Amino acid sequence: MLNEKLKSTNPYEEFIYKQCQKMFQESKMILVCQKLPIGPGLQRKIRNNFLREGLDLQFFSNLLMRRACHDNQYVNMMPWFVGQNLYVTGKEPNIVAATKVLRKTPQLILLGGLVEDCLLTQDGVMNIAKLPPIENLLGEFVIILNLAAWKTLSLLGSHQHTLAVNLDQYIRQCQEEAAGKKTEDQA
Amino acid sequence: MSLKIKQAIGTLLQTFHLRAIKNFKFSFDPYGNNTRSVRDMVFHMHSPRILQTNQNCSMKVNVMSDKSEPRIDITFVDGHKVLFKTENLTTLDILQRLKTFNAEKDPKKDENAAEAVAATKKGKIARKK
Repeated sequence: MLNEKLKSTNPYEEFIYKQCQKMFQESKMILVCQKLPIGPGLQRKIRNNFLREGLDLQFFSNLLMRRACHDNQYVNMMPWFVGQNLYVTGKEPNIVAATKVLRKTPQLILLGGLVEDCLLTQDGVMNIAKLPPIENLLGEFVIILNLAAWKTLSLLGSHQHTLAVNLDQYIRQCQEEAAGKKTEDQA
Repeated sequence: MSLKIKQAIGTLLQTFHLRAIKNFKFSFDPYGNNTRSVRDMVFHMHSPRILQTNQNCSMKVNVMSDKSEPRIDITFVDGHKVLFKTENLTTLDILQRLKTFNAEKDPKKDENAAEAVAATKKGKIARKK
C-alpha cells in the first residue's frame, strides 16, 4: 500500500492518457504514420490540411499508446508503437480524404491503420481508398441479384417475343408487296 | 534507450554526412519484429542538416506487408553496395559502421586533411607569437 502511494502519478500524464483513451473510443479510423523531421510550423500546416477534410493529426507518446492498448482488443497494434509516430484520426472512416492529403505530404509515411475495428496494412488502406463509392457497389449488387430472375423471365417469354417479331416482319412484307402492286397497276 | 546511448547517437549525428553515399533504400514491415533501428535511421537520415551535406543523395522508403526482414541498402558514390540487415542491430551500431564507411569513401577527405593540417599550423604560429 505504501509502495502504491509512493508511485506518484503525474496528473498531466493522466490527463493526456485520458485523451488517448478518448481517441480510441471516439475515432472510427486511426492511421499510424512514420514522422520525418519536421518543425512545429510545418506540422501545424499539415494538421490544418487534415482538419479541412474533417480529420485530425494527433501525437501521443509510444508509452501512453502501449498503456492504452495492452489490455484490450487493440493489443495487436503494439508493434506499430516504436519510433516517431503521428496518428491521423477521424470520427468517420474517410480513407479517401486521408490518403489524398497523405499523398501530398511526403513528411508522413503511412504504415497502417485501424479502420472500424479492422487492422489494415499500408496496401490494405490504399486498396480501400481505390474502391468506388458504396452506392455504386450497392447498385451493382442489386443488378447481380436481379439477373437470375430477369433471365428466367426472358426465357419464359422468348417464344412470344420471337412470334411477335416474326408477325411484325410478315405484316411489313405484305404491306410492301401491296404497295408494289399498286404502283405497277398505276403504271 | 539509455541516456548515454542517446548522447552517443547525438554526437555521431553532429558530424555525420552523406557525401560518400549515392542512395539509401529502407525496406521494413512495420508489423514485424525489431523495426526500431531501421525506423530511427529513416528519421535521422531525413534530418535537414544531414540532407544538406549531399543534395544528390536519394532516399527511398518501402513499407512492406509480407513479414520481410528490415533492411537498408546503401549505394556509395564509388559504386560499392552495402546491405544492413537491421533486425538485430541497434541504431548506434548502424551509425558507427556507416561513419567508418563514410570516412573511407569521403570524396573530400584529402581536402579535410589539408584543412586540418593548416588549422594546426596556424594554431602553432599563434602560440609562438
